[in-house]
Amino acid sequence: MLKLVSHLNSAFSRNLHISAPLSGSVFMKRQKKVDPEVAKVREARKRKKLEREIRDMQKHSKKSKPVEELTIDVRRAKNLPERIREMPVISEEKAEERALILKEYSKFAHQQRLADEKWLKESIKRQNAALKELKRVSPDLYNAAIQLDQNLLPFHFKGPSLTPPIKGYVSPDGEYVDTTKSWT
Amino acid sequence: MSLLKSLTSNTVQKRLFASLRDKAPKITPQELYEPVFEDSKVYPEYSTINVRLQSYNFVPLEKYEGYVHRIAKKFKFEIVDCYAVAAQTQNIQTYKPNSTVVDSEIELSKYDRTVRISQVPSIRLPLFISLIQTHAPIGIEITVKEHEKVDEDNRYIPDLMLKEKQLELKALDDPAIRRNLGWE
Repeated sequence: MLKLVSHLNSAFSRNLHISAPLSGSVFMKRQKKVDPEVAKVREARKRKKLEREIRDMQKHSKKSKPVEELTIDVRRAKNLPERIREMPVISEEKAEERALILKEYSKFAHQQRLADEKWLKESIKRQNAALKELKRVSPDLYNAAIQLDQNLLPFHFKGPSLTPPIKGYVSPDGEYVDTTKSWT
Repeated sequence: MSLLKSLTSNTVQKRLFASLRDKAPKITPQELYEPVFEDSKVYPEYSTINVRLQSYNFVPLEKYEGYVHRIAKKFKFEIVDCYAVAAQTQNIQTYKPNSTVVDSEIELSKYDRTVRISQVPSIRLPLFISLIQTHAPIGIEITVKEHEKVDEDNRYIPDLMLKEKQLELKALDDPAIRRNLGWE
């Protein structure tokens, strides 16, 4: 716009009156003539200000979504003394029985863990040995075997259910309503 | 005498004693000014992996998260982070048979725990997954996947003001707005 104006000025210096919106439409705002240097400085300042604000916000920005099970419910913490119960009295025989079961269980759990660790050690040893042999036999196959498996991830697995499917179970009608809090 | 020797044998005298030059340590140009630390990693590794555990039952979930963490330590993976994410809550309404009268309302929350591991060699990951599967408790859902930016961002509350400011900054580069600045 400014270039056109300056050109016209040089060509017809005395003949033409040029005012800012040449088309002269009623709907165009009257544009104030802004000195380009001032505008440049203004833009640079605005940019700097925005960048500084963004940086400051990013410092304090990360608020993690509250995990309810890890927070203390203030209302219930206050009346906690009201809700303390006494431990029930267990007879000696029962206490002995429980202690014996606990011993057996810990023995079993310990054996499980030993078996797992043995399995792990063995597996790693065998993997290393097999790969070493493969490398010796065929380097191409070895390189292919070492590559990251693309089909493995993402891996989804559901743990076992409490009971096998109940025969003849009639599930009731109903609705699932998702009440998860969304923060957008 | 030497002529006879050269006629009868084609052997050349070999000196098997090391010369002083041979005894000197051979230095490659890389290790001239710095010692060389060799990378002991033989197999290619996955970048960060998220092991996500979800369950409606809280106690086994927490115990299992601890178990996964311990197993990852046994495998000598690097454990980056071990965190909880806000639970997904559902409101379930069951209806009485053959009607829409609400029989019961149940509030369920699906708790969410994640163990983030890195430096996982390609061949050890299947072993890790099979061990974890074997000990999966009742009612758990395991998802093993590679880490993405979205996974990290979902932990935090999105900051709308920050987003607005960033959009404004980006808008300064928009040609339509740059024209209105007045100096181009």
